[in-house]
Amino acid sequence: MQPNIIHRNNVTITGKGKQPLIFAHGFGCDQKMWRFIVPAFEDRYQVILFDYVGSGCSDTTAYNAERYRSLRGYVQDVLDICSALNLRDAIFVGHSVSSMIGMYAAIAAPQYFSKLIMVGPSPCYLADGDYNGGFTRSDVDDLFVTMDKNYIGWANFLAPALMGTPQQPELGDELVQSFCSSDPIIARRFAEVTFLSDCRPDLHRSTVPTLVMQCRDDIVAPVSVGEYLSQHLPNSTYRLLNATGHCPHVSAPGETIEHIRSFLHTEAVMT
Amino acid sequence: MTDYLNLAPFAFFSIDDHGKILAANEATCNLLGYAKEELVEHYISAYVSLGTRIFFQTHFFPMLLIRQVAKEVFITLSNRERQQIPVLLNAQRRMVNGRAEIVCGAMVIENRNKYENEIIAAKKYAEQALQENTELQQARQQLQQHAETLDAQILLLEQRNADLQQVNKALTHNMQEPLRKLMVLSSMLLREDSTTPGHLATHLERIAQVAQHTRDVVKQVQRFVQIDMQELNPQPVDLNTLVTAAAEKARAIQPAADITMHCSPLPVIMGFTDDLSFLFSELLHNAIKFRHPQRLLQLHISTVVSKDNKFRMLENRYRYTDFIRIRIQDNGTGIPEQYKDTIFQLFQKLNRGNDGLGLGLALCKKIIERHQGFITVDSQPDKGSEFCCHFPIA
Repeated sequence: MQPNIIHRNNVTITGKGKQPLIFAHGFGCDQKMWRFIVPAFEDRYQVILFDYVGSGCSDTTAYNAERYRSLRGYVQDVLDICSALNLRDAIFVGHSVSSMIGMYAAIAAPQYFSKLIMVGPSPCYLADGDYNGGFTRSDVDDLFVTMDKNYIGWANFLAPALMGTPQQPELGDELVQSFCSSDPIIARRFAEVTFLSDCRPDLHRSTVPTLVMQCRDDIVAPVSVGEYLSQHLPNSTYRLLNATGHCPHVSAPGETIEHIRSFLHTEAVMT
Repeated sequence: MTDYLNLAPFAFFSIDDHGKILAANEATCNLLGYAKEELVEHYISAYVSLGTRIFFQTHFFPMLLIRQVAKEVFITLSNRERQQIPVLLNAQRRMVNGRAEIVCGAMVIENRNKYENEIIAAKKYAEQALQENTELQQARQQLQQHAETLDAQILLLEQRNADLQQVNKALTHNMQEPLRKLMVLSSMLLREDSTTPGHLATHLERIAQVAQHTRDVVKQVQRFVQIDMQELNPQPVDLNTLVTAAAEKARAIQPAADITMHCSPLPVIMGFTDDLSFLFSELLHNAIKFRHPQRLLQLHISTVVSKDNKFRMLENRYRYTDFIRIRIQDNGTGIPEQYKDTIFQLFQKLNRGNDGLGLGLALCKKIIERHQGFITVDSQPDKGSEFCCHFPIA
């Protein structure tokens, strides 16, 4: 085990089982987002949580602009963790942009992964011809501008949180912690990598059995995106959830857990 | 809401933790072009730009939960006509009768926004120029250092190459030849004198065998040395033909072996035919040699394009480019854990009992590295191994 990777990506391991189950957070979040889901799997799996470099409580000094200028740098974070923990046949659950990160990781090093579970995935956020990604270029630019214009304000806003905010009784420690080292500059760059990536040309290279979980009324990944994925991603199972929004693992944990369980169970029976 | 607030010259509204609008003043309605009933009980996300919606989810609400207050937040509202209205927002979260309420005041900053956009554009331009300048200076410094290192390395390589040529000459003349003579002489002794006593004959045969084995080792070492001395002139190589031929060759060595092989279509890559041919023959031959005694050998050759870092030696340098990965999977005996890290080293034999010389995989590694690629192995004892050859593609 390489302690530097464990520290760098703030890797947390829980659970009593043997088979590794990795939960990967999306853009603007961190591992705490999985808090309602994790307990349901701790009995049967080795649950692995982490923060990408620059998110959550990762070591931001490890951020390298050259490495993280494309999704591949984030893929390397996942591969580094798999290698450090010597994982095999892991199930990778990725939210949002992490779905594609997981797919690339499984293409690059198939020996680590047995299944992929994608929560609110999108292979491309920008609309392009017949493809409705949900965003126009001006929508995305608007997000970048919003982040740019708020950057100074938010950096100041964040500073006291970094030094330890006075306890607020109605808040758990976890929420305060989740933003303990989110770096606004890195977040801004991550936004660009996330929203400008086009993974569609690589979908056909995926071989691992994959569950695509699509929510209703998701502003980030509309239903058309989930349907596109299910048609173009080999070996995939498509499920349209009743949950709405982009974060079913927070807003509808029960339904999210059910779908993950049933997919893992079906796959286990088939193989 | 008091008249003062209702008629105030700025948008004043309150929402809950989910963004549901609880109350809104006249200015809010006028700004957005909706009647009060169309706003209250609806979600604020319907009246902001897409970028702002994401910003709300990822930054605004979590921060309000932590700090209770947000000041000078820039957001973009979207009115009935879908026009974008830039506003500056102050928000305060508080608990009213056990329910969270976020009170917001928003000021339109249309003109200030134009000015700010210009400042941001100028700032970005300046930052970029500064960044490029710093990068250029760093690059120039690095280039200078690299040129010096490169020069020293070329000198060293020239010396090594000259040494290698001497080693190669020594191998060919000073070692191959005496060994050949040794073999000829021992066979002559055996042939000419049929009265050689039994135990002497055995010794003579053993001498011939040892000489032969040493000659094979010398030949392989020679090959290992020669690879570095070849002229670099890569040609297009069709891996389909090459791997099929390599498979035939490997099968011919052990014709009795029961093998099923599945090979997906392979690409044409730029490289050195003879070396690549040796590489695949060696890997397939190994798979046959280390097949599981209790089961039919199943070989699976597949290929996929995946991005990898072009920098293999320099730390903290990243350039992810396309590599083609050729994966050779078998269901053989696998590689024991203790050998995993050393199998690509010279004279490492997995199995003392076999006839291998312990050079094959070291050669494979060298061949792939000559193609600017790399080789990896993954293996599970008793289940099988997979060797992956990664070649960069333009």
